[in-house]
Amino acid sequence: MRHFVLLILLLSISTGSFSQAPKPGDIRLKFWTESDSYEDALTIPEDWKNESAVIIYQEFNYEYKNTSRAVNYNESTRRRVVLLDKSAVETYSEFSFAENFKVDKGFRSKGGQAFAGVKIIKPDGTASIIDMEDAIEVEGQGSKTFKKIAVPNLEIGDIIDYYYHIYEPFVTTYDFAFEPIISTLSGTYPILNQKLIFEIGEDFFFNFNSLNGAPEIQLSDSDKKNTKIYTLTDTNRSKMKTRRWFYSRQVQPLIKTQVIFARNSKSERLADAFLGEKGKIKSSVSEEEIKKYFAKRLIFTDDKNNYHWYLKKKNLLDAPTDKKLIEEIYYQMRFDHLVAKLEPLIFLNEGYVNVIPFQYGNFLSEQSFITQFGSFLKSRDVDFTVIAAVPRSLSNLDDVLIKDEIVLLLKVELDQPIYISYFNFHSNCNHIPYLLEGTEALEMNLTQQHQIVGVKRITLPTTKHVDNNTSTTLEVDFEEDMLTLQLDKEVNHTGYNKEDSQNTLMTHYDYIDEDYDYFNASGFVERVNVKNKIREEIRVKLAAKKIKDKKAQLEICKQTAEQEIDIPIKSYKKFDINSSGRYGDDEAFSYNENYQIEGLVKQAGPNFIMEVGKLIGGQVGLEEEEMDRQEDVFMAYPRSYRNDITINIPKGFDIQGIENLNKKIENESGGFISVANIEGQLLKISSHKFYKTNFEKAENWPNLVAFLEEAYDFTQEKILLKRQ
Amino acid sequence: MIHFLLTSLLALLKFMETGILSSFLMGFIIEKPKQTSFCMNTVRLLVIGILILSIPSWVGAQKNKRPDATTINFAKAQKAEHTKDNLLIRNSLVTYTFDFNERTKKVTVLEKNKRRYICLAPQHKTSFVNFYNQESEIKSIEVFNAKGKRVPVYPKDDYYQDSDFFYSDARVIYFNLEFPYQGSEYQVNYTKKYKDVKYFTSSFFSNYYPNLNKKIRFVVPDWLEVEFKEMNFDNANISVEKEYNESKKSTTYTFTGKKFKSENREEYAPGPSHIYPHLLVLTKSYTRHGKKVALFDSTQDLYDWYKSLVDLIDDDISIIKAKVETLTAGLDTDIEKVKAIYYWVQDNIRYIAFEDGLAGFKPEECHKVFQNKYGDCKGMANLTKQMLILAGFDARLTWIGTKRIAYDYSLPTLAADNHMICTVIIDGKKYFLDPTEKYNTFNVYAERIQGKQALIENGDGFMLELIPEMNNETNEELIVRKFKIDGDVLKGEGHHSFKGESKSKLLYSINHIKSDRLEEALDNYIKEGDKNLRVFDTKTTELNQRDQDFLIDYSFEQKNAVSSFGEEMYLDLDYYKEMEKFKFDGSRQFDYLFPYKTKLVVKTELEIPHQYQVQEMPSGLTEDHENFSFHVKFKKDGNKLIYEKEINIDEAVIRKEDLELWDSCIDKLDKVYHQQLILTKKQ
Repeated sequence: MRHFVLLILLLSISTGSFSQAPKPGDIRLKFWTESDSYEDALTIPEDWKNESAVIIYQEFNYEYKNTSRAVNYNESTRRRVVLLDKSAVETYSEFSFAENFKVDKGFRSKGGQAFAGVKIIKPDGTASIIDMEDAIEVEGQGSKTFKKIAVPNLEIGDIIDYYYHIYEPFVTTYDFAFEPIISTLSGTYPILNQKLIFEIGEDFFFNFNSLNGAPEIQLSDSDKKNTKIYTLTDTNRSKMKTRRWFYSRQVQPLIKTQVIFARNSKSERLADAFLGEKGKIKSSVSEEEIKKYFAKRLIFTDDKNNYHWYLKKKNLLDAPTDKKLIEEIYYQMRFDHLVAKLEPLIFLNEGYVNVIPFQYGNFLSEQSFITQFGSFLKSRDVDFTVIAAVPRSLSNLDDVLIKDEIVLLLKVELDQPIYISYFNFHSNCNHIPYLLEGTEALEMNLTQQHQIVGVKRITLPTTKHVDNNTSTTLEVDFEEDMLTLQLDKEVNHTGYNKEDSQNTLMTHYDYIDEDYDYFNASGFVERVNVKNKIREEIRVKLAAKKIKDKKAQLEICKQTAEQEIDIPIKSYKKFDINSSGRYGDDEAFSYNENYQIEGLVKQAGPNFIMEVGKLIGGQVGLEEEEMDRQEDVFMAYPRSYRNDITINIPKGFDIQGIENLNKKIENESGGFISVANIEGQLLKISSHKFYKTNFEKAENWPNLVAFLEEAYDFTQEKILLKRQ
Repeated sequence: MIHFLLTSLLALLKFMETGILSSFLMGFIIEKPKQTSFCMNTVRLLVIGILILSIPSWVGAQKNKRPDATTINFAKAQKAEHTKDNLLIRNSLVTYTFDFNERTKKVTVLEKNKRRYICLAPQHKTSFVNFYNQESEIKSIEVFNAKGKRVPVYPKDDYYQDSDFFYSDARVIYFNLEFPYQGSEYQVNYTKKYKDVKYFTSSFFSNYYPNLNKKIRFVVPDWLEVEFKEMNFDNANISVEKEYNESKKSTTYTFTGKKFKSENREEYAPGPSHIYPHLLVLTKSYTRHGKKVALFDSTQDLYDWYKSLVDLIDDDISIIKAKVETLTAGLDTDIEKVKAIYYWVQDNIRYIAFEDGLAGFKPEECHKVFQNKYGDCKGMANLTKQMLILAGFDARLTWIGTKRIAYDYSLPTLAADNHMICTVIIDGKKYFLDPTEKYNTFNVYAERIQGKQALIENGDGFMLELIPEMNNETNEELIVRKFKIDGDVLKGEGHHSFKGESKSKLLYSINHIKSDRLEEALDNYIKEGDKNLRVFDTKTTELNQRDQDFLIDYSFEQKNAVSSFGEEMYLDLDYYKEMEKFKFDGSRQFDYLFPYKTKLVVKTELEIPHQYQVQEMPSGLTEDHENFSFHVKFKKDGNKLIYEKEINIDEAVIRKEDLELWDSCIDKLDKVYHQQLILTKKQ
């Protein structure tokens, strides 16, 4: 009987909980009604006649409904575009779309459906609706179908009016936070009119904010019971402009929104979002709310097992918890929770599914990392605070609305504070991610029991350009033909300058093996729980994989060096890592490389011209239109680049033109300084380029231009090797 | 194209080579955009990789034993010979048998394929792929390990998407196989059925992987007349045995060859039918119940079948009539009228390729193409034909094989062509119109069809005609730069002119740039991204005219172009340095094809400053060869220094036997490019 009741219950869930899917006709009428105020919109402003296309009207519609057990989510886009050139016609000449698809929301769904419609309006106003039955299925497996259609009779001057509506029903037990939407109001084409419409049903929380001058959203009249409709209306929006060093979210009109479903108070407590009040828009998050949110979720324990095993192993249990010990624990955690778990993934990625069982466990989330590290500190009676910060490229503290905008740090109160951030493969202890540098953040104090209680606003420290440095020592020799150069390089990256190079130039096994050695740990081959025979198989594969990776690494290093020096490399001979820079903020990522280039030296009768300036690598080349700038300058971090170049002058030649290699521009934003001199048969050149800040007001742009141009001009300098 | 949602895994199949996909389908699924903190992205990608892996699980690794020493040594030796290949086919046998389907009244073909693969790499994973369409089906797939034990495989069946086609009826059956060790072996067998022998046209000896021993066997019943054309058999050392089986009333032909290299993975190479040994299978007729029925016995049979499809076209010319009248109104000459129609179709009908059963051979009705404003080559050819007929011309559909195909219509086979154009006959002269060639000038023919035989409809008969060959002058690109020295800046004027295919290629690009970016694009085209060059006062001829050369004129200032050292000035006279470092370095095994026959002329004129003289004139270059030539010369004319360069590629191809010679010419050209002009102050 009990089974029978359960069966009935299950049936009722699976059959009765989803609302009926929309009908294609209803969807069409939603957009193309007789009362459609844009039906007759055919013209565009004179100013936009030379654009590729102009969006006369676009509408984004988000509908959140709640039935007894299911959530029904509808999302639609309608766009009416006048096509002014062949490029635009080409862009809109074919549509491809998923008609049926798997819903990735909640824990169960019967699948999603989509509806599309396309209408062509000729310049004389005659409209024809494309029969979507003509769409051809081009992919189809199970319940998923993918279709495409070629739009007929589409010509320059036509208006294309199309919509795409998706219906996603799903079941969720407690809360569900929908994907946040953060979008600038401008796009590829200018927009004459646009609307964003949110229909929010019961049990949904609505976070929304308009930023950087975007219009406010308004509550509209609604005859729908228990549903509130909010509309944002925007007009005459020019197309998006792109700039060098530009965080569009900091400058361009922007909307930010998230909808969260929470059926009851329990769900609300569990919700992974900042919740306002049901039925009202939440447009900001207070410092107190942020504190409360994390106070509930960051529970620090003083579990003595938490990494005390490691201290015991290292005989450090009684050692003071100083910077060195904290670093040890950080790198051990990075190894245990990330690097050691990477190796099985590499194997799985290689396709050895049947050889290796799933033995990698879960990765640690940022929140769990903070909790675990804080708990370790607590167990050692070390004071710390928790910092909530917002990356500069995304937003700032005052405009936070979405939980994922926040990054957590720990500040360990030693003589000099140490900042602990969520690890990545190469991150260092006492590291603040560069996008947080100098930003306003919240520092949350803890009680003696390590409960978050207080909150204050702080400014996170910044690095200096000397901290984020790339130093290159380069020795240059002429080959016998005088046209080929042999370059022997040592490169040292420090601070934030390390990150890209570490990620690009190291193979996975460069640092996995390093960590195994550092922690005296067994590799995956040894610790995987398989029969010896299979272990042997894995060992053979591992050796092959490492050979393959090393070969690929040389090619990557060659390409990277080519991009840096902006000249094709004739032959790339060597890449050796001296130090990975992974165990200390002050440790450089250092490597040596050796390669040959051709093209920097040109013959001039018996003499040779050498484009010596290019040896410092490609520099920012500002285009004419970039010289004037109205927008503030957002850069990643202060940084510097130093080159020490020694050129062995072939016997029988004198050098002319080195006076042009001495340059100096320095101002409050940065500088470029170069010095050249001849010592016997050696031409020695040193250059130093530095950006002092990560942000400049637009009015300081000329400062940047001054030294950027100086550095670029240096790359254009040549010397003459004159035969004696 | 607007993608409402991202395409799935299957889109990757477009990268497949016929037969085998060697890159694994993973890591290409893109997540929905999401705000994430810094390091989780990497982890997430790896996790996604695993999820994808779980879709087509790899077969074979667990049960496959390590090969014995002899096999491993064999694999190692083969790897030394085939350095770029990860698998090798030790033995391959394909057997074709023929049958007659009484229901459809078609001759059918059964292809039984057996291949034994050995792994040359330390390990290798690959996807085995078989294609089929409405006219064929895959009947079975079996895989056996080295000991002959059957290995289960789980093939997936899906649409095949090719970026060249908007829609194709081609489908793909694929499964994945892992070779865990160097020397690991699998036998892969599959059976494919062709429902109609006319679609079975050839059988190739080479495969995606090198093939040590290959046998192709045909069991031809007495009732079927088949001819085998041996193509590219020179140097292939292929033998043939013929054996008659009295009891089965059939003749077995067995072609045996050894040591076939892997199929070409080189870009810009001739089509497969030009370079690989293969058998062209001409099924001429069959005899049933004493009655002989022609299949493709002659070109007339091929034409008859094509015509039978053309006769099915139900054109409604009333729909296109008004447009024809508008286009030709006020035009006096026949040529003007033809051009008006031809250019209109080029400009207004988008090319979208379809391949869907019979529709792959039958042209779309003209009014549908006209109304849709899109069509494939056949649809566009038919629309052009009907518009011309309405305008009073004698216009015909015309079948043609592009240069990618090695055959002509002396061989009655569907493999002889892959394209359709329109022929218009004016005063007895034939003009060929290919509206898929955007911005093509009337009476100028694209390289891909020049010299090819065209099959022109002619009622119940047909005409064969060669498309005229054009020389490289037709496509001449001329660059003239005249300038003087002002400090370290060169100031002057530039002039570019384009003809033929150099013009149509450029016009196509220009016309597909967003109009608000056109000025910037032209600027970048001239500057090639060089910040030192400032271009201004740019003027062009009309962007959509075809009957004159396309011209670009501009003024320029080039910074950092002159280096002064003491009394001397050094400068580089060649700005674009065309073909610099364009070498092959022994990396190719096949001819290199250019898109068209090239003639490039560069003329540079420097006004020498009064107080300076030319100290040393750089040396020039003269390299005249059968298919290409390079000429560079420097000369002084009064106070002007003239630099002239001419590069001719006469046949749009560098033959493989000329690749070394080509490289040596490029070395010499590069040396010229590396020279500087020296001007010295007069004493």
